[in-house]
Amino acid sequence: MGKILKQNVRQALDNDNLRTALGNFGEDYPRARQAAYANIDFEALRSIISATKGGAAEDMERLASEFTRVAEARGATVYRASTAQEAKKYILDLAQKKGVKTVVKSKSMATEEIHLNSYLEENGLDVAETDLGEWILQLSGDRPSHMVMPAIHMTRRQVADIFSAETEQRVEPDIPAMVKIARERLRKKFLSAEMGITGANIAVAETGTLVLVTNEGNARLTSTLPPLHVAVVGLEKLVPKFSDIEPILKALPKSATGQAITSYVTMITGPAPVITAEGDLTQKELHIVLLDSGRTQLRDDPVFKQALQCIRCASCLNVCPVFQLVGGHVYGYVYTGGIGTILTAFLNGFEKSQEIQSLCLGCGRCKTVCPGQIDIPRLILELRKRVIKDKGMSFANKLIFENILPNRPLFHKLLRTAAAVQKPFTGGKPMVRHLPLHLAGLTEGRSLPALADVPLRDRLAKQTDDHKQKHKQKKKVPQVGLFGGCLAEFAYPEIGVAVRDVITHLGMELVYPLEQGCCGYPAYSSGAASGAQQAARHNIEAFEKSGVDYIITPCPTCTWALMRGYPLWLKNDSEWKGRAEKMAARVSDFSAFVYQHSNEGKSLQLREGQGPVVTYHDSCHLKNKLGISKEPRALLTAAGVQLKEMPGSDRCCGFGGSYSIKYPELSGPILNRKLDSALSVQPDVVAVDCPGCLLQISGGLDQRNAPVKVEHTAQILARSLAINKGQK
Amino acid sequence: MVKSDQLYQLFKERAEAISAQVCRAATLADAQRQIAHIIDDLKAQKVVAARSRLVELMNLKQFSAEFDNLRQNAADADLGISEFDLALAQTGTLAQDATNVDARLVSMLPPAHLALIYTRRLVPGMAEALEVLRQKTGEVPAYLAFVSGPSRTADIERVLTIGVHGPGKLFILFIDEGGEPIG
Repeated sequence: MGKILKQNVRQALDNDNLRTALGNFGEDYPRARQAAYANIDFEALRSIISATKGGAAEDMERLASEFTRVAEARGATVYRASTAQEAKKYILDLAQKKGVKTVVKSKSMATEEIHLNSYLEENGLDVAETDLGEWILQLSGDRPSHMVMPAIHMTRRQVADIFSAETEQRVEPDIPAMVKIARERLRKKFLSAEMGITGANIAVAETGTLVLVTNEGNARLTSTLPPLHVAVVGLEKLVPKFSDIEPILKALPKSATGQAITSYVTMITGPAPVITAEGDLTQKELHIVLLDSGRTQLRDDPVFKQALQCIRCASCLNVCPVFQLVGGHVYGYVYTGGIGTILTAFLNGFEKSQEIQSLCLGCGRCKTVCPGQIDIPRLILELRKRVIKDKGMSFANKLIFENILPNRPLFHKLLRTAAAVQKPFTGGKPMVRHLPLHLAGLTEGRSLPALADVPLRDRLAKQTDDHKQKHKQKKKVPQVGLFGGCLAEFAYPEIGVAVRDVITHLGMELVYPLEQGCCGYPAYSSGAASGAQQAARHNIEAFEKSGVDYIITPCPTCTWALMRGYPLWLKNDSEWKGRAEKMAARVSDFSAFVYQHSNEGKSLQLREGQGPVVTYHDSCHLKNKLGISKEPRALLTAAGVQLKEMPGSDRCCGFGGSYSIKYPELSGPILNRKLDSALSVQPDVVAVDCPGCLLQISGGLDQRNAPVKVEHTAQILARSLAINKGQK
Repeated sequence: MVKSDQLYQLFKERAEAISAQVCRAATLADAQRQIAHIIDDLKAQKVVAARSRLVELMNLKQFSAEFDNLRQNAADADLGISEFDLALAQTGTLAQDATNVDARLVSMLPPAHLALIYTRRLVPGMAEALEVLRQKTGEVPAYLAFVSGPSRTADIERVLTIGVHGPGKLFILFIDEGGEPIG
């Protein structure tokens, strides 16, 4: 992370007001959103929206022409601006021609993006933002920190100080009173302005209609009082039909603020009558600026085109664990959060997004709530890949992702060596609390596990494909191939052993292909495409040789890599694409597999009764990327534990692979929140299905000296089996 | 009237949840009485109104309502009155063809607004409303206004405040007698 970004992150983390505001919002938003969407099939709704907007993006040119023709037939003037500069110049020229002195503006991200206000102000115009949050920011010279709630980072006291300076009177931090001040001050501007500028949330080609949503009523006044109205509309706002309005309108307020609908929805089709300040009834002059400025470029990019499906609801920001910590200013530019990173790259310049894309820890939560069904995490990784193509990888990363990880024998030798020499750091204990000198940052906030003396492949000696070859055992029962994953192999081999015991209990045979290496996800998530592809080919070959019926893994990141990653990474490789798909079809996550093959846990025949109090942590990759969350819980219940849900069980633990090493200042607070949640239900054990989450949470609990164990679902099941056997 | 009643109940529930005040009059005469009541409660000195058939029937001259020079008059009035065209039950929303600038001025400038709507003009939701508004004139009116409750903001510390640039009080009076049924 660059120095400036690091500084901004530190500043944001140290800002208590911001932390509190964002923290409270992070708690309230999921509840409000869920209530708003009660009785609504969100998946069906967003399928409609993504299809409509996706189709519109393809058809952008034709829709723009149709919109222009129809709107102009209704009396509007439509101007196609290719660049931000063209748009600004058009508006300034118009203002100057009409003798405009004062402009009122209602909130528009498009106008922020092109920095319209400063341009007009530099040229002598008085521009008043009328959205309360935006007006506060304008007065203080600050920038919005959120797309929908721009001044969320400010306290009432700060606003009172700003208003005191503006009114030259002592203003108390009384919110209703301050809102009244805003109403009075801005009312004067509304009544005297010669030009009103708005954006638009939707533009309908069929009818030439602009749709604007607000709660304050400022868009209505902006489009009613001044005799000249300019609407700045990004090309991505275009939809084909009038009836396309309804699904988008249904989702936007619910996703943005948890409201069923905003107080005002205004649909403008051509100019309507206006009464001038002098009292004359006349026709309003309506100018619509259709803004390109990078949008056709987005449309022409086969991977990033889907970003045009964004309806600017900001729900991706609202659920992002990183955004909840640092807010929008850290993202440095106009558009913030997950979608912001992507839009910034195309609308404001690739260089500006290069650093902020590194803030994404890949939890995937944004994708589960996006009304446009945009695969935001994937687009960010794609950006990361392009950054590396552009700037190259650091020497260390190159070494790791292209030379070490894909070279299984070398990688494993290095780890075995490390395991042999680690005693001075571990003191013989299972966890390392403090690494020395320049490695100290690695154990900031959470301890690391010691490397296992005996790695998994040695413990499963009898299950390896090598061994089975030698002993030529007849395959009487289903063969289940185990992909261990690096953490299970070298830090937590007991998980792999537990998996073996459970699979055996199901009447199947576990096979451990020795040739397997790193799944390739770390390379992929760092943007190192060729390292990921190398890993994919290597593992596909290893498992083809083993001839297993099923492939399971105890790590959802590896599951995703094998199941979805390999076909994706090799889709342009004619030789390997089919092989990747064949392998993918056999892959399951451990818990989902056991659930499926044990009649949802019921035929496991585990003990009943009072087991330990267990609280379950949903791993981001398991729930968000693979949709698995009820299966582990069913298995744990079958294992006879007392399952107690923690608040926010599906909130990220902050591990994010190498993220916790790169950004401990972000990973740490995210982890702390998780630890507080887990400990609040006083469990004996925290159950997880991901060795990465296990590392993170157990490491954090260790540094808190909390007597709570963290175990993989496989371990809990295996123990139940053992107890059962013991009782028989 | 049964379906209308169901829709009315849903509308009332949803609109009141977003701080609108909803009442109902069986007859035009009853409606006039309720309007007098509202004006009295508000202690509204100056009332402005946008001309329409229903507004004419309410005989608002008895309250010295102003109908002209609305840019001046609405700006310092205490209450604005206008007729709305549709009521959307699912969200407690009112829809209005607001091409006539008078309707917009009286419904946005004064701090309180009284919306008059025939009960027969209730529809389930936005999808149906968009169809009707389109059909009615064949093309889309120049300015369509959808109003759900009074104006609001949570821009300061996410604390909800009612009444920003639009009215802080919204009264909705359903009138059973008269009005063109949908369909």
